[in-house]
Amino acid sequence: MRIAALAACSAILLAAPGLAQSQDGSAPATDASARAADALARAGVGAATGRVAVAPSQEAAPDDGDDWGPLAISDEVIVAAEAAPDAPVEPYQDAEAASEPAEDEE
Amino acid sequence: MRRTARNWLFALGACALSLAILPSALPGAPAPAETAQASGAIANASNRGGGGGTVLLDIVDAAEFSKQIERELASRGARIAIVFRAGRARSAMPEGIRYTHGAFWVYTTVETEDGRRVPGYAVYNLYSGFEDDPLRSFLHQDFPLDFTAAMAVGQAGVIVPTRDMQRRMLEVMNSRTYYNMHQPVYSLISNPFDARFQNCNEFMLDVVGAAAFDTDDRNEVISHLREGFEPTEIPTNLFQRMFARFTDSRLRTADHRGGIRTVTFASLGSYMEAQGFADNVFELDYVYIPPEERGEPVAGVTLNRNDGGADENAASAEETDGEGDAGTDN
Repeated sequence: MRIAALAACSAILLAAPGLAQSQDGSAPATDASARAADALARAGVGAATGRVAVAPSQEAAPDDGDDWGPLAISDEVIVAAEAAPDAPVEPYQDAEAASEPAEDEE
Repeated sequence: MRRTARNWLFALGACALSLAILPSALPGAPAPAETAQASGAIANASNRGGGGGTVLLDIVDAAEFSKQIERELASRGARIAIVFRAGRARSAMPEGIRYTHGAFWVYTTVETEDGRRVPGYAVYNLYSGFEDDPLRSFLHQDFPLDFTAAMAVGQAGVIVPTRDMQRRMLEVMNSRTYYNMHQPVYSLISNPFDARFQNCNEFMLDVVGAAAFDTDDRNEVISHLREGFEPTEIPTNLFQRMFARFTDSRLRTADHRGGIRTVTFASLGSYMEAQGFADNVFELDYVYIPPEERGEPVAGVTLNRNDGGADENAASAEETDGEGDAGTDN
């Protein structure tokens, strides 16, 4: 019994971290852009610091009848001019305890 | 009976002890280094480390691959695409998962520090870790290099929406609806049919849903998604689900009953193709180009290299057939 319990514990410890590897969506470090720019410069790769000049909008997508052909792309690698959250964050509410239990999806 | 209880107490104690003495089993702790992979290509030697001992693409390879992805999207005339990366070695990921992060790549004009305006893609992400709280997420725009610099595998999953969907998605991104689709309460394995938590992939699904169903109400989007979206099931056992949060606080399971079902590249791609929302779903391999063949750094604008005949620098793209190769991806 004890061996089985220990085996179960080991399985949990070894398997659950794998589940945690399913996502890596953390923001780059605040100095990541500067470090990347330095590294690219040392390697002789053309890079420029920049920022988006216009917000994504409908203007970027033509109508069906218009040209949807290949787009121009700069050869320069763009590194971010700044690294900070740029969108409003909704009022934080940890709803885990507050809301209804999940309705099973299937 | 009393003996069984004593055994379980022993087991719990052993678990607690294991957690204390086996830090390497916990996420974020150093794990054995793994070699960066580049499917169908050669990855440059890399010493850059990601979290958990993950070895990432060399920064020069990351820069080159970011351009290969941009050129591939540009050659297809994509104003917006959904791109996925693997930020961990595939061997470290759970079964059924091939990518660990996805974001919108939007064709735009970039203003450089020296005042030039150059065309390229900007990347719109949902990241976890707002104000160092791993349970909160935020929306953040950065650039392709930021995306590929966190790659451990030289491969990207790509969904190019139909023109109509591209227009609709851009309209959503340019409105309050984009923010309405954001649920800042973060879970690594959020259930797309439950509004309480969200990860980056679910956020993208919700934005697609808002565009497809013309609504700014996330609950309404979720209702629609129940009709046709089939999440990817991640094989787990009862113990893993019960103790998930002990190993990582972002592994919330309160929104799941039974198995873990979440949004992946495969499930989003299959859904968008089946609903007629996507023109192309494919995986793009990094093509390694030796430094001596990369040429001099170029400032300014060039037409993408995929346009017009022979192009040995172009990334290779293999399109999937419906649920074919993408069927089990993240």
